[in-house]
Amino acid sequence: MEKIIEVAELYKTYMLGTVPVEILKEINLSVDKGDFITIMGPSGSGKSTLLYLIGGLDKPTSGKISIKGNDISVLSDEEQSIMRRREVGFVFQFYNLVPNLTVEDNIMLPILLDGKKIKNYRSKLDEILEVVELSDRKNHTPRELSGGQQQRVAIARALINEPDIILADEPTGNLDSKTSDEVMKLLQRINKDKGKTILQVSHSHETAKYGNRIINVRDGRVWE
Amino acid sequence: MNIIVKFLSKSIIEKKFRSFIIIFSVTVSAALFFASSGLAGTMSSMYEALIKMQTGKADLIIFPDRNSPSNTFKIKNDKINGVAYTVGDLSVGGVYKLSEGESKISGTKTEKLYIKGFNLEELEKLNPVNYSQKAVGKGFIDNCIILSKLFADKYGYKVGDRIEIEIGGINKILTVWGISRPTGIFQHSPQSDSMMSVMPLDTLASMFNMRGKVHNAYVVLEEGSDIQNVKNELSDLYTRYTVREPFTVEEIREYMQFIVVPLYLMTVMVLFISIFIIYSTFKVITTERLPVIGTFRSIGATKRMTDIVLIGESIAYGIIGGILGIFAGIAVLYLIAMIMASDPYNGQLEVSIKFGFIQIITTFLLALLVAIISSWIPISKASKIPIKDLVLNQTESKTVKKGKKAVIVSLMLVLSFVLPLITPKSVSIIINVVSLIVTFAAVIICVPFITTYILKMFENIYSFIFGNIGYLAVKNLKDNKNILNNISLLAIGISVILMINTISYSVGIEVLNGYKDWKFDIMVSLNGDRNSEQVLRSIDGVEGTYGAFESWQGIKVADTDYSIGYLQGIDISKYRDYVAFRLDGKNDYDEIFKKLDEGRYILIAMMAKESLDVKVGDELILEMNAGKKTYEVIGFFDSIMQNGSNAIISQKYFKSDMNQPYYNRFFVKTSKDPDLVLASVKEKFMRRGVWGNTIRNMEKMNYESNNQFMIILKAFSVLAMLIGIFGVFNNYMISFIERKRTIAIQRSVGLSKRQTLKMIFIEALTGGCIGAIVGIVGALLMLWTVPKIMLAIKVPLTIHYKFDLFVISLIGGIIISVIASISPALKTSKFDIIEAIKYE
Repeated sequence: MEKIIEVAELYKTYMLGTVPVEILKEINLSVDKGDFITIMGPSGSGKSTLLYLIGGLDKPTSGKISIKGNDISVLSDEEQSIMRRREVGFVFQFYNLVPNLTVEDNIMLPILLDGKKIKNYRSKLDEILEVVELSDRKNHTPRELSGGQQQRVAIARALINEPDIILADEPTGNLDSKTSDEVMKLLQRINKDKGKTILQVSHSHETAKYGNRIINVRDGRVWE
Repeated sequence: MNIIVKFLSKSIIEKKFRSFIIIFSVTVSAALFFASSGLAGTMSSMYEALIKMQTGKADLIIFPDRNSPSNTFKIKNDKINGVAYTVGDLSVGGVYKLSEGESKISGTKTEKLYIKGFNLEELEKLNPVNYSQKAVGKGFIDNCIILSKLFADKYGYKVGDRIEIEIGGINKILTVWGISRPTGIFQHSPQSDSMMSVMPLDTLASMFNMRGKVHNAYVVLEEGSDIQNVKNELSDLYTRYTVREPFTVEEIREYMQFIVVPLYLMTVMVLFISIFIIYSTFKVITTERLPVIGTFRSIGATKRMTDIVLIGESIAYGIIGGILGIFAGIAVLYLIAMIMASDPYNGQLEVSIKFGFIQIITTFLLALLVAIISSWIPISKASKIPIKDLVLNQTESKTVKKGKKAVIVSLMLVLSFVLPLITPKSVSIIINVVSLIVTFAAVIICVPFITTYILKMFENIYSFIFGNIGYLAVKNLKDNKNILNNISLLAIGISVILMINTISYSVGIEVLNGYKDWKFDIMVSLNGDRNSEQVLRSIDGVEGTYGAFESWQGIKVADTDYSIGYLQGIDISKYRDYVAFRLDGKNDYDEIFKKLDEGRYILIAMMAKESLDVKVGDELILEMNAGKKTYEVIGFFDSIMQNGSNAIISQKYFKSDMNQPYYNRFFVKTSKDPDLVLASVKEKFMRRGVWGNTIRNMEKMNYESNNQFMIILKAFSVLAMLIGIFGVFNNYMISFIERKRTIAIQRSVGLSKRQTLKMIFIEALTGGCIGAIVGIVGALLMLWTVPKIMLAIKVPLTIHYKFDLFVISLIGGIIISVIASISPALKTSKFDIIEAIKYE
């Protein structure tokens, strides 16, 4: 299988006041293309930090993270931003939509930031809206949507630029069980039908069952 | 309760910049209010002091006017109840010829002297002389003179010295009897070209054959006597002379209106900005405090207690700002008084400020009120939120429907345009000021609509110029309250500063135009006939002369309360060679002038036409020296001379109706340097009390006089702008805090640091641009009302627009906005994305 993500000897240390705290230690990990991985672990174990490091939202203290063979820890801010637009799509627990933008604009955000013409992506947008079942809501603002709908918008935003990797940080953490189920099924469909690699962070074994692999993070280390 | 006070003081100290802005706004508002409300009183007391220098203890003065049979009169010995004593004086001019050495140093051959004749004992009672040197054992009789110390020091005279002075064309050798410090009647103004001296009344009277007569009489009343009764009795006694107080507070207050009304107006504008800043800042304060209020409430604090926390904070700002405002107000008042003290026409005033306890209290209360009123709406809104919502942080603010706002704004604009048109003149000042303020408020309320429409226009243009980041920036600007606040603040600041600068520019242009109308170089005041004109023409450098008949005393128009400030009797054959005359309408100039000479016809300046509300064919009864005369209006002309209160009649009728056989002024065209020609004219007519000035110099004096109060207004407008700028900086910081999360979201999906900076730059550029556009619109709307206010305060003004000012405003708005965004932009590009994104 093609290795899409490779993490080698990864360390991440934060300063808590004047005290250094080692969040991640000696992480070695590889993800195959098409995997649906659930990263699990107790609060403060470093699972979200690992996800953000893979997504290029943060820089490791040491070690190497490769996305499709490219070491992202050496990229400049500009290059990392481009990587976030094109190679990965993020889905967050609190949806993280821009409140004053419409559903359409929120979904198109990576396209806009990539300097591409929106009109070339209209049909793509319609297609994705159909997948997330929000075709009738594209002119609404996030505050006019329910939590589940907002999360589906966030998933659509993650898909619009057709990245190979979807990174989801507790995507159902803020949803009721029925809506959680819907969102997880959607992610599963995206994984299976579109061949997207998904890494999700979760506390719940219920959601983990939608994936094909579980990685445990405890005390800053990875256990499988 | 202690914990609430602790929380209150901590929150004020914690947010230093925010607290500073609120306190600064309150302080400036209070200071400007203090200065505006104290200016009339201060200037009155300064003018009173100046006048008292001349008139001493006199409660009333008697002097000849144009109806008097002579320019001198006898003091009558009739017993008038309430009069303690009366002192008379004679005033003549004297010339001191400088030695060759002195001449070379000072560049002039003569020094003019005012010589007042007084009985010294009487003068000492009325207005004591402050001697620096005085003769001992010799009476102040015969050819004695008291010189000003300034004069004595300049030319090296001391008591006992002899001095030669030409008085009434005769050289007199006088003995220096005393030297007075420059106070009292010896007070010297730098603007005056003559220094004061005093001679014995009898000596002057015998020299001019005016024994027993005086030019002015100074009446001092007994304590407790009724001034009005005495005035009436004296008026009955001196029927053809003027009896009046040396000055009346009302007169000075009316005179001061031209500065006080604009100052109040500026204060109101500054108040507006302050209220706006405090209001928007308190909205943030209450939003920030909601979770804490929720916590307080959940652990048992009452609604009243939590309200006290917020209201207490605004009261604290009010108290601090009020106290600082009073001190700053005293300083501002002193500064204004200092600037106004140098009056190019009335002389140098002694700077002293006057204010009372009531003014202090009013200012303090105003400061308190500004702070409380501005914060009241956000506080009361916060207070109404149920505890459950507070604790769960479920607080959504309701917005006023756009339709409702549009109706309010339309009504305000219609009112502000219609009211001045239908207002009776008696209340026009207040209505026009209200109209201006309403216009101003309407523009500010309009900011969200205007912004939405302008942004719609910008959307496509920006996508084209700045690409997708431009598109995103426009989207971010929509409904962004902080940016809207910034636009409002910029709009207020720019409209105020642009309005003041346009007024200042217009005043400058009007003054320039006024003097441009004069096609001659020197104005000479001299009573003379054709022979005098011949002498004038013979002076080297004089190219041509025009003998003018003029009255500047105010000719009352019967049955109205209007007086024509400046009446000319013109020589229709030459007048237009010397004065640019612009007739209103398509009339034939020659025909109108010809008609003017055919009877009692009058041409009225446009401003006077408006005040008198007359049309061609109407008759005006003028109260002239020869009695009431009826003149028919035959046309109108454009002139701002004497603030537009001027009229023209034929020379022939002026002579007979004003009882004035001789010219009283000459307009002189020169072929050489006007200053040199003027010096020759003065020398030639030295003995005849000539006054003259070059047009160039008069223009300069007028400019300086206008400039004084324009400087003050400009300073006020700069302060308004300064508060606005602080507000803009504050809003950008608030905006940064509020948008941190949104920007972090965009960063997470690929917004780079460079793109973040570009986006914030575009937003600032757009905000500044819209703020400036709205400011320009606001200024234009206000400038529509300004001429009406100016007319109401009897300073007619035509507004002239300077394109550069508008461009500078636009660029200035953008620069302020962009500079204010630099710090938040840098912070935005550096913050921790995860930190900002992770927690709701």
